Amino acid sequence: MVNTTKKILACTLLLLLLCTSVLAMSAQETDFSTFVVDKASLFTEKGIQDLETKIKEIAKEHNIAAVIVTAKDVPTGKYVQYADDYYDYHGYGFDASKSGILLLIDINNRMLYISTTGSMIRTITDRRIESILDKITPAAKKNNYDRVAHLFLNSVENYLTANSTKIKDLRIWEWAIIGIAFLIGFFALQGAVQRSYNLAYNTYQYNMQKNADVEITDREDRFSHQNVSRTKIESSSSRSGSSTHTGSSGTRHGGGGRSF
Amino acid sequence: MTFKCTSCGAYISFQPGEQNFACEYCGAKYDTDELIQKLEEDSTIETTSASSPNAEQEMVYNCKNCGAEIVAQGTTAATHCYYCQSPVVLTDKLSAEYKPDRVIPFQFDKKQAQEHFLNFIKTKKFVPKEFFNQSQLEKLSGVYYPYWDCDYDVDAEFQGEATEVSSYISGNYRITTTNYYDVYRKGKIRFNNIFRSALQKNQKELADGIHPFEETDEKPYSPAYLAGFMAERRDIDSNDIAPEVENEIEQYIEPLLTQDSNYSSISGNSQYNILNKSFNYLLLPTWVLTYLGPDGKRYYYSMNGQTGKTCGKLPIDKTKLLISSLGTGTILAILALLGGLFIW
Repeated sequence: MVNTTKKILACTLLLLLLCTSVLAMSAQETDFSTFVVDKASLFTEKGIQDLETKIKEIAKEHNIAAVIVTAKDVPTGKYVQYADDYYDYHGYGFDASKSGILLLIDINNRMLYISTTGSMIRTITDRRIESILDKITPAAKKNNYDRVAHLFLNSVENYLTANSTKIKDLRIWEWAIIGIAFLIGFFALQGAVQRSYNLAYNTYQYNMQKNADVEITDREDRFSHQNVSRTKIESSSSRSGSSTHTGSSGTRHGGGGRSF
Repeated sequence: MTFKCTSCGAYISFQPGEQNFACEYCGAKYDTDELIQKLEEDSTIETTSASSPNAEQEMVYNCKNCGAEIVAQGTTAATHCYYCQSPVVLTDKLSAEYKPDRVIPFQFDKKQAQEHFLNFIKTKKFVPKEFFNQSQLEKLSGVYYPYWDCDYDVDAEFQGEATEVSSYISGNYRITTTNYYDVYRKGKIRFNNIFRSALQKNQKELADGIHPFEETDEKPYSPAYLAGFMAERRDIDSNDIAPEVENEIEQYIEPLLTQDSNYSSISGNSQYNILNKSFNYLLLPTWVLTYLGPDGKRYYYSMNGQTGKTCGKLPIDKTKLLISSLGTGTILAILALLGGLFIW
């Protein structure tokens, strides 16, 4: 008995150690100075610093990697692959599922593209991506990229804050569900026992099919009238959530883009 | 009436396992038909005496085996002597108009009934041990309860409206066609074996749940079958149960007359005339165990003495049930927690 307890304790410690080292390794992979990659030189030095500060705040608060990439060298029509690969191959993301969001400003194709990874696929749904693009596209058309980046980060932060409030609400619901589950378990057994121990519920019913003999001497079935009705079949096919695809690294991404 | 062994003079009783009579002392066996015939021929068989056999109140009899006094309630028709344990059949209670027409003899003896009970109770984990300890097991009693077996011949007719519904989908619409029919049926129906309790005592709940009994084992009544068991005499007349049975019959007319139709729905009025009716007074075998719980409530277990079907109201060990319910609730809560973690 004592040996078993020791074994369980040792296994738990080993598991904890493994988890800690995996977390430490994944944290090391990310370089915190490169969340704004301005290859198309659209931002000022000061602008980049402001954006990095904002991104670090988001990362600290929500454990999410927000990345902004500007580029001139994206092959025509390849902006989705470019954005996904850039995120995957630079090891962004702090948690096991590499959760994060990347905004690609593709000057060559005049495209804005948002790529989401991990938990951000669920947080930033297709509809939310469209909403963010609605906000940032006018500024992009005016070549005000600094505003594009800030509007993007603000929107992402707003959604994350709203979502964490929602999660807090859900936590309350979770407790309620756990409480309800407990009550169901408690009363289900009470009810089942009370009922199955009172076998008097099985009252006697006369079996007419078995005990009655019927001889029909006269029968008539006369058609009287007919009624035809027509009802419309309602169909509902509205859809919400996130559509996903898999990048060349094998990681699943959500995303959406718009030209400017 | 007591039944004495011709070899040793000890009492004999009916043995359900072998469906014959045997002396419990020397083991001598008696053929059922022979014994019944002998009883009918032998007018010297000892009969208990009473001042007023039809009185409803408690009555005092003398045991012919040991001379002890036996106090029997108004409807008790067979019992044991409290001193010598001889089976005693109070034949005067089951004579003339109170003589049963038929009896279904016990198919399970006491040992088999006890085993049956213990096997049944094994599956009921929340029954307190006091309900099935040895002294309780000894109290398991074989009782013949009185019933009316009613047969009715009726002329019946039904008149009503039926519908036949069909539908199909055409484009974005569902087209439903309903055909209406006027329906008429006339016929003769024979209702066999409608059972009704013939005892006013509150034995209804004890015995209702163990129906049905199969008429294949029915025998013409002989007091010999009662030897070794308890029996109750009827105190309800057939005229008293007839209106209730006839009300019940009325609800079967429509489904029976229209059972050959495949309509989607059918409704209407039915009526019937009684051509013939007969009431047979039956004694049906039941193994019964009662228990007065610590809460002052009376619990019971009963088993069909012919088929082994059980019913009852069993006592519950409330502390054990509370602990188990808390455990079940906790397990379900943990599962919900794990499920939540997995989903999120």
